[in-house]
Formats: sequence, structure tokens, C-alpha cells
Amino acid sequence: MTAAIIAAIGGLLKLAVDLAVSYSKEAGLPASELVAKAVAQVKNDDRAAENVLEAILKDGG
Amino acid sequence: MIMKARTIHRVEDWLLIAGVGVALWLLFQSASCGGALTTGYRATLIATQVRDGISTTLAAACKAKHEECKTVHGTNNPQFKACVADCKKALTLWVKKAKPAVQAALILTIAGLETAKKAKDKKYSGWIELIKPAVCGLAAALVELKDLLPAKGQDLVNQLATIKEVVCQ
Repeated sequence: MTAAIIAAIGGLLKLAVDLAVSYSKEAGLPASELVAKAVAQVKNDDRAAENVLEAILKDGG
Repeated sequence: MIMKARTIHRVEDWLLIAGVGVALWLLFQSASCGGALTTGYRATLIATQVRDGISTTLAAACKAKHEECKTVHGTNNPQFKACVADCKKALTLWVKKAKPAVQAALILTIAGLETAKKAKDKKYSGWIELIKPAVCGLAAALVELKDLLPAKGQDLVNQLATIKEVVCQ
């Protein structure tokens, strides 16, 4: 999984740059508003996995 | 009097039928106009649900394992460490690498779809490249974590299957 994810992030960075350029060309929403809207749509406040990992580490795992 | 009441019912029936017809027509229009954009938004929704499903299921499975290891071995000893090793590895990978990468890809995909929507580009297919890291990353995570995801894991694989076919070529 690590290799797949790292490869994915590499591809993602290039796409992020391309997309940022396209934002400035659009007449509509400013980039910050677009990103804020996107963040709100995929937000996940559930920290259950993070909490379990912290608990395992705290107990010496 | 009865005739009048029947006429009113008929008018109401016809209005209802006409209303349903208009609603169906609008639904059809929005689906066909949306096209690629609608599929893109659906893909982000599915990927978001699978991401949340993995998080919740993995957390629950590892919480149970943590408790079990604590009961059997106590804490802060090599046996406990070995007992929780798989969960620690999986959770670290998920929390530190996979989840943030999936999140970033989803944000970019929605931003891309919103940009296309604003530009009235109904045939926008750029979302496929943008969402690729999220969908293919989730598919890889599901394979990697299958031993730690009980029955729910297969549901998540099934949920992701259609969009994976489209995106991960």
C-alpha cells in the first residue's frame, strides 16, 4: 500500500499545480472559496483510528 | 354535488400525474445534462463513504485487538508489543499516509468538478485523473487491510468496485 500511496501523491502534486493554474483562469469562484467548499464536502471529524493508534502507542505498542 | 366532487378529484388526479411527469422530466434532464459531472460527484461520494468505512471498521477492529492484548499480556512489554504489531502498522499507514492522500485527492476532485460546473463544461472528464489516487489508494488499502477488516471489508470492496473499474485502468 505504501508504494501505491506514494506514487499516487506524486501524481497528485502535478495535478494540484495544473488545477491551481486553471483556477486563476476561471471567472467564477476564487480558488480559496472553491477549496473551502471542497474541504467542507469531504471533511471527516471522526478521529477513531487516530485515537486507537494513540492508545496503542501509550500502552507501549 | 357528487358530479362536482368527482370532477374536482379528476382535476386533482390529472394535476398529480402532470406534477409527477414534470418531476421525472426534470430529473431526467438534470441527469443527462449533468453527465460526466454527475458521475464525478457520485464517485467522490462513494470514495468518501469508503474512506469513512475503512476508518471506522479499522478503528473498531484494532480497539478490540488492543483490549484483548492488554487483557492477555498486560501493557508495556514485548508480548503486548508483538500482539498489537499488525494493528499498529496498519493504523500508522492509514492515519499518516493513506487517509491524508485520499483526503487531498477528494478535495482536488471536488474543486475540479466545481470549476468545470462553473465553466459549464458538462463533459469534463478531468475528475477521473484527480480522483485516481483516492480510489486506487482505497482499493490498495482494502487489499492490504483485509485481515483486519471483518465482514464489513467485503462490503466496502463491493461499494468501491464500480468506480474502481472506471478509474483504475
